[in-house]
Amino acid sequence: MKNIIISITLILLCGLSLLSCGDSPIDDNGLLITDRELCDITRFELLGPDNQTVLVSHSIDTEKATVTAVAKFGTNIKHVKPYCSVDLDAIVTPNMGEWVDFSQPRQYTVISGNREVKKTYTITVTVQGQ
Amino acid sequence: MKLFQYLIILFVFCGFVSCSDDDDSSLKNDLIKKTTAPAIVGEKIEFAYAMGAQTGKLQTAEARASIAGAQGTGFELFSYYTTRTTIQIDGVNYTAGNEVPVRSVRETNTSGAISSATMEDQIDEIYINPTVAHGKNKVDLIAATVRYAYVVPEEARGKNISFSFSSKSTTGETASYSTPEYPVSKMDMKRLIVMTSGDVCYFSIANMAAYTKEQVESLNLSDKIDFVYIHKDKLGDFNYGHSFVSLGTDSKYIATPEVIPSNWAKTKTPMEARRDNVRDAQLKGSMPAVYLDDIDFQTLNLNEAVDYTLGLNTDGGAFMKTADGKYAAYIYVNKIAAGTMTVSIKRYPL
Repeated sequence: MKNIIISITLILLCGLSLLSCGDSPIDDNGLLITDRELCDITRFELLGPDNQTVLVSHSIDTEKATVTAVAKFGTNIKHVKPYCSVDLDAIVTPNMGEWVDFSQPRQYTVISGNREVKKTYTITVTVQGQ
Repeated sequence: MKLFQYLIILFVFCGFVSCSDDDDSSLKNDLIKKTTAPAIVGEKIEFAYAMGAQTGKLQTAEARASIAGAQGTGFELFSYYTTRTTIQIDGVNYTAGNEVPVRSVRETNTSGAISSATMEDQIDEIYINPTVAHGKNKVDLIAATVRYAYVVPEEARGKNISFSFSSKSTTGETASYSTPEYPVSKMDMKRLIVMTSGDVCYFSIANMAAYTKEQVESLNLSDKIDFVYIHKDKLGDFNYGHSFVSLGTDSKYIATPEVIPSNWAKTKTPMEARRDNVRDAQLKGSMPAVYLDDIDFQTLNLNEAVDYTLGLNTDGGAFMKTADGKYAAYIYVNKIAAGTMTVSIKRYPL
């Protein structure tokens, strides 16, 4: 009986060790690296200190890798938080969601899910009346 | 060794029961602090103190504050039950779920830090037995929850306060309950200040008041004016709405430049709008129970802020710091109509 229990335990341990060696690698941030090659911004948002949008409009040109946005009159463009959506499994660097000064165009690089294709977007925000 | 373990267990058990000393008494008591808002000078902290006598009737209740309360501190004369039906009492309509007052306290007294309530001998039976009709019968007052309100005095600002409640029955039994310490805020608050664009539009955070141009000049207050309220739908092609500007704000953000006399001090008040997401229940005057407290002002960073905020809406507001660095404040917008705005303020000394 004891041998049977030991055998079952060993078989389970072997099974677990095989499972743990999956073939899906992760990057330095613990994000899954996949085989996807797309790396575009699909949506852009800019929030003020109250986490409300400050944008009136924006357009994304994936060929020229640009985002052009217009913020409301009076927006404190030196203190805003950008957010964006990107293609599946892609990442953005530097991180979005942090306070930045958008009084000058800023560049963000989108890196594909396989981490092999990169596209650097230039994001330009103008404020109404300026 | 085993004896030592038993002693440890006994000590731990004693720790759990040490808050109340009525375990051997036939009079039991309990307490709820009803007020969840920060304690601000001039505002009330309300408690519900419950007593129940297994023998005899309730005789007195007493509350002792660590710092004497301001005027208005004391017990209420009424206890409350929740009605199950729609009833009318003394011309007041109550629907199911409403609290209905019944007299449970004969007289109250507050002297210094001590408030007392002498209980009635009898109470409306519906308070004890909800199946009978209101006003039909009276029964001995053996259990009741009385309400105690403590009006925070100036002396308590920035300190901790605590309370000790006690009660006595007609058989001489006693019970007591001590609260933990509660911090009293350093904030000041003033509600429902009406401003009108182009008239009562000059606001002083130091005075927590709005003025007309004539008042500012006659009282020589221009250096205390932190912002001006302006309402204009559009400025050029752009939405402007209900806005606050400093006296020193860039003129392109001032829809009606004539409201700022050239000889006034041009102070710049850093401010940052909050739209819809800082609904302080004390400033708003209703739920939800979300509050600005001292820590929100202690950690407020307006280093990157501008000195104006445009397009405010009802339930919105703006954090500010006075140009002289003396105060941080939140201006909450209670109500907006054409050319008028009703605001409330919480102000914290820095």
